[in-house]
Amino acid sequence: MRKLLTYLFLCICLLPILLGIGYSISYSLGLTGLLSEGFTWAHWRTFFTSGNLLSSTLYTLGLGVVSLLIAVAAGLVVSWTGGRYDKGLSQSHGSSLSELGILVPLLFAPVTAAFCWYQILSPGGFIARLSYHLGLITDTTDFPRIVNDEWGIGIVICHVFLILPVFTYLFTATARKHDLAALYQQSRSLGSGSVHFFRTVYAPIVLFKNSRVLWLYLIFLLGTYEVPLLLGSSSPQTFSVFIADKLTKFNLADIPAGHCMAIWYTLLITVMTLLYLRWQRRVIW
Amino acid sequence: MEAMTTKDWSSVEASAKSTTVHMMMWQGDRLINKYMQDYVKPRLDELYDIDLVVTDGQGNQVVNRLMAELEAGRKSTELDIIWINGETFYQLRQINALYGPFLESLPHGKLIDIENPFIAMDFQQAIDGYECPWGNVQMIMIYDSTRTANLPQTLEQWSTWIRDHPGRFTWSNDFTGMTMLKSWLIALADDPEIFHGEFSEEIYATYSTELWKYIDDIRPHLWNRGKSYPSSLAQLHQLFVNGEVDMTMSNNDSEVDNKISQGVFTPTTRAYVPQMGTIQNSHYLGIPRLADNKEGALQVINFLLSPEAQYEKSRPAVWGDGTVLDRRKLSAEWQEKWNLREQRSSSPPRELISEVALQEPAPEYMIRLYEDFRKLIIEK
Repeated sequence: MRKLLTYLFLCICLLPILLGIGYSISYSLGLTGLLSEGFTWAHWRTFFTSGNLLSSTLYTLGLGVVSLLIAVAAGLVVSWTGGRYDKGLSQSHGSSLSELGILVPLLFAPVTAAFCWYQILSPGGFIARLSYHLGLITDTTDFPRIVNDEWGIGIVICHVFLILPVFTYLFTATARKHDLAALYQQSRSLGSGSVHFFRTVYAPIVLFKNSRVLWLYLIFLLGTYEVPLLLGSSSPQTFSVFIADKLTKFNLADIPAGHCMAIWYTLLITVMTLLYLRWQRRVIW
Repeated sequence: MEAMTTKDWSSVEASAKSTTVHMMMWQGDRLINKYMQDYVKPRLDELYDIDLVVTDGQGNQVVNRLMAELEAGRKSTELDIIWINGETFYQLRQINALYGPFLESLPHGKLIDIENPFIAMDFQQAIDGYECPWGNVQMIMIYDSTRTANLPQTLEQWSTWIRDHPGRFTWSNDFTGMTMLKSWLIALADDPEIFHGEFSEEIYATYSTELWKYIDDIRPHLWNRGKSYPSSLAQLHQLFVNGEVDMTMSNNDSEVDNKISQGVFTPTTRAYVPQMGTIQNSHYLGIPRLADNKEGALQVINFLLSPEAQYEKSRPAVWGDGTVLDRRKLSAEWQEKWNLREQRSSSPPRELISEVALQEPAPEYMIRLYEDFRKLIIEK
């Protein structure tokens, strides 16, 4: 039965992906596509020499890693601050109002969240208008550019907004499961400081126990489309925006470039996942 | 079904009766959707017992879908009618995805203003009966009359205006933005007619070099210092409405009246066409080669081309789309009705802006401009 389920899983989940990758490889090599003229390396040569590969890779990875690090750090601090003095933490299993409150951002679809942040952070948005009425700026152009900026600040803010609640909730649940509040009280009575406990016990345990989820979220961030499309700059482009651009814009001859990037993205994620699994095995053993 | 040129129309009508016709079109405008749902659908049902199912999709989605179906070797598609324009027509002809020629077989096809090059030619490509003109529009620039005065009319004036209004102008990195750049490209040449006919590498190289230089000069004074550009027209409209930029634009010369009536633009918003001209083009209806219900599609397209449907569509309160019919070919009754129809109030009359209309250059100009704009301006 278990074997059957495994095969079923492989058929439902892996087969379509493998077929998709096969199609992309075939397209990128000129072996398929209505306009293809037969086997060629030309698309890959152009892809490797165009500069898009490096810029998109660095930009996407940078945004993903920075968003994740900020969300993790904030999630740790929030869960730590909210839980360390709570005597009921170790016993409580119910959902408090504040816990439900932190889950509110999860109700936002990424495209809605991106649009909301655009309305808040753009030079014509809420904060800029408020600053104008408070006399902090004299024109909307004085407002610092936080969305559609070259550093992706708006994207990072939106990403953090979307994933921070999950992390806070997860970290709190982990701390609860391992009774870290009680452990903290004991360490305090033995003379340990808060920072020391946080650095050497709380953060390592919480992060290690959630490393798999953090990893999955990094992959999720690398693949987001609507947020970088609405809040990012025109260049560089993230993987997803680049691929969509090449597959759907005016030049049908550009489609193979989109497939090249899709394959590159898959390879990158595969290599990163293998490295992660290796690291995890090494740490566990 | 064989490509139709002489087929007896009554047999088409008989086959189309009581069928369902699937149409894919852009559904991003409330008024256009209302026209289709509240007028076209009931009339088709009433006149021909045809059930019209409209689904959302445009340009690249249509191309991708039909291309995937052709690549998969499918023998039919559920799409019977597609709403397309020049660049999509070019792509669909490249992959041989269109059915035709069919235009001559339509009874109302005789009423089309086929002598008009803005209708008979789609991005300098002869339509050859593979698509049917549906409407005609011209690019306009949009501004708020309470905020903006001294509207630029030439490229020199644009340059000055942009420098005088730093950070207050940009364009979208999409079809509309590229259409504006095409107008600028043509304006750089003394004679717009050199852009007629097939794509010329030499002409493109000469004038695009000038265009990139021009953009490079004004770039520091553009919105966000020209470092990024709105990805869509909707985003540009948003910037305009938020007061971040002083101008937006549209390929639909009735856009301002439409958007004011929807409450998107303020009542003081106005449209104008600079003296250097803007591109006028038509939009068309095509039938996929693999369409299941070609007879139904022909009947629907014929109705959409009728004086009745074209008149309704041209009313500013309905859609405000320019007609593709030659009004001289209409009956006296329809001509009179047309002459007495209400006019839009926030955009100059079509007759006036048509005087400075520029023809769409070949599709390769758009493809090259889009690529080079990214390479030479955005990524620089």
